[in-house]
Amino acid sequence: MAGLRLLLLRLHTAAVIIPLVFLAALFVQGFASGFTVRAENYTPVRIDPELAAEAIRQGWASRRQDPAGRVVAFWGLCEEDGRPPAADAFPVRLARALLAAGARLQIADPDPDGALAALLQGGERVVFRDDPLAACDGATELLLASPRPDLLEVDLAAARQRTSGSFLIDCTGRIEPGIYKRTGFILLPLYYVRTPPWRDPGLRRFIAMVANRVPEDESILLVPTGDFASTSPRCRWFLHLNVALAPRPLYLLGAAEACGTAEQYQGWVARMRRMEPAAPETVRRGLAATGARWVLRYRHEEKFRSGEWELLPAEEALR
Amino acid sequence: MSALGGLFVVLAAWLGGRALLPARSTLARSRWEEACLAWAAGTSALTVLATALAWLGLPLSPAVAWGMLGAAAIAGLGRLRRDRRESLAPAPGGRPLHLLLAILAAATAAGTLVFPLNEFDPLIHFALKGKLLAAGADPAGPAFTGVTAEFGRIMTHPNYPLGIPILEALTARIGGGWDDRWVQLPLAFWTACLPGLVAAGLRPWGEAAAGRGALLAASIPILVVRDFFAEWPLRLTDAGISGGILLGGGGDLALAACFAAACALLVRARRSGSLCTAAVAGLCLAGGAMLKNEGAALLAVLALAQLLVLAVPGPAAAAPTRPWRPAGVAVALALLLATPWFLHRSRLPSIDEAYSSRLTPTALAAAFRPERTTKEVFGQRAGEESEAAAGRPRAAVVAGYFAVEAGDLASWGLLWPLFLLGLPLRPRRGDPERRWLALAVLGGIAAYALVLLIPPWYLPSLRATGIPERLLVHLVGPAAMTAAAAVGRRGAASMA
Repeated sequence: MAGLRLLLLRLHTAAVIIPLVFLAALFVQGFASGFTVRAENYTPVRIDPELAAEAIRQGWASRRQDPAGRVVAFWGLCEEDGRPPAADAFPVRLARALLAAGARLQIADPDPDGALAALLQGGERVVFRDDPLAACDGATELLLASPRPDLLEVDLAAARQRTSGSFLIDCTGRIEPGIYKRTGFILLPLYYVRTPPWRDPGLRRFIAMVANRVPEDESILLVPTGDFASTSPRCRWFLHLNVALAPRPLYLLGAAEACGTAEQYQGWVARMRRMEPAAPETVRRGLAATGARWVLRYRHEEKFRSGEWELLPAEEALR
Repeated sequence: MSALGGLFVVLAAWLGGRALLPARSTLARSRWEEACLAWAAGTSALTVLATALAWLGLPLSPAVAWGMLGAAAIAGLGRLRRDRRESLAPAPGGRPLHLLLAILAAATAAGTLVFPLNEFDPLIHFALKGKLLAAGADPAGPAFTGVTAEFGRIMTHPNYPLGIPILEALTARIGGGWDDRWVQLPLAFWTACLPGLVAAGLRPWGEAAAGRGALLAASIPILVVRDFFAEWPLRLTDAGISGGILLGGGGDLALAACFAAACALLVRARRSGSLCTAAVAGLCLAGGAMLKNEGAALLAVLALAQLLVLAVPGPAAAAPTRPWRPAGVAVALALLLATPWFLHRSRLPSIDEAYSSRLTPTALAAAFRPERTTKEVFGQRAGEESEAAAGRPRAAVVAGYFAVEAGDLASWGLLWPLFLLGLPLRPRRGDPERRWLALAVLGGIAAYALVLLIPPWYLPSLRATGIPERLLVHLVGPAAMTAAAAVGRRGAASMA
């Protein structure tokens, strides 16, 4: 037993290579980025294809939609140059998982020799179209599986017109919110964005502007606006504003619930959806209760857009 | 200026810790072990004192900050002069080990400062409180208690311990302003200290065991980063910015270091009968409770482990003389020093993690039934019901998490297999120090598993944030000591 312990200890010491490699990479990364963290250092990361398919399946189940009746326009099965994908590639695994869930697929890639059909093994539940828009005809959802430049250039408005459903499932993180919103699609993001919200360059500029205008001893009432459709933690801009602008006191309607667990936060979002926190009477009440000299209206959504955020002196906000 | 402030806080904490350590003749140690023990004791003392002052209604004003740090520095300088007359023990291990430890210590300390604060918990939970304290906010005032009003003042976890914010605020106070990079300076040495603390605790088993313990602790990857090798190919350009890094402004490594110091000093106190050593162990235990909520749970677990070992003392030859005295002093002093924090905490609002009120038989029974929970999945609309936990009982999910972690070589190396092999399986025959160290680890795991059965959180989401591995990190010190003591126990003739 003593010998085994000693052997394991010696093997264990090999693990020291991991922190050493990490620290070396950290220093190189730090040097390359000027020892600051920039938003462009982060890239969107796709989630596990099986998890993505499960999330889609759960969405159907929650809307009481039969998977057998769902037709997914599937963009991005093949590689950028049209080559067939590897058998374990993300789009292939996602397509197979959706087929396993019971859906039908309209793949936006031609399959002249049947190689793709053989890869997916979906039988008659998979059809192949020559162009992305044709794949949308009669589809109930549009899914973007790969950030291929040719697909990102397709007119989404035209795709929306040819799709019978309204969900655009994005597994790439490359679709700009402004673009999909204009088309009438509802975005279902199935990717992680590793850029932390507090590194958003627009937010940092906005914070610098607020810090410049509001003295440290004056307080701000935060007023969330929007349709409160999302309960994503990335909508919690109030947390990041609060840290960045400290020690200025920042107030929020229902702060305890908003700052609590994910469950509490979801409850807060639901409450805000019902009670219109930006209504003049609510703002007036908030200003009276807190004595705040400023009102900061921000949009409750995942992306920061400076055009929809504004800082106003309290008296101006009440006008 | 904040860099200089941080350096002064580091120096003052270390000097203060030096002043608190027992004489070298009472507690034999190498220079390196002494530096590590002094660091843990000094930071514990600063956080305990500042928390007590906060409870008394004294915010961290410049006078208070300079007074605390100045007193610590002066006391330490006096001690340095006196210590010249006493010799140090040789450092355990050979030159390669010393070189490795020096490289890791320098690299982890510098690595902490490569980027400014950039993780959610360090920013949102700790830095906010640090900024408020640095601005002179009253810890019992509206900045910390106002969250529950209808239009509340924004703060997450208002009743989290103030240890990390205090260390950051001291840096900002002394350095002339808040800086997201330099406030991390006093938080940069936890990983560097851990091998030295483990070695100090293992001295009774001989220098070889101490050297092995240091090597074992230094080789645990999660003391720097978790899941770095989880993705392949390695995303080297994500190093330090994509989560997973434990260095920096979080509280997990801080608690790990203080708990390791407390365990190491208690081993030595029980063996030597030194109540002075036991008192410093108690200080470090209290320091742990100031740095993270789990520190209070570990204090209770350690007390229970001591009671169990005292109840089943083992063979007379292995047992120290009157071990209850140092154990009692350590636990009693820890409770005494942590009392201001507990009293202050009772004045702060609890908005979410009220675990004790959720710990009911009904909640526990529910953890053994298949779970259905509401969860937004990857941006789907609110209110949809998810069964992403696959309808398994929560207890099974939690057990699975711990088992997976124990086998995660990329985060832990072989620490947990070595710990399991080092468990003293014959309670009445084994060495009592190894028994209570093992009990402290097992008790800590049991306590954390129990808490995970009833939290108001969605378990898979919690898993994604590094639970339970971030909790297991707290137990690295006693786990490494248990494992290394077993490896080196053949040469334990010099138990003293």
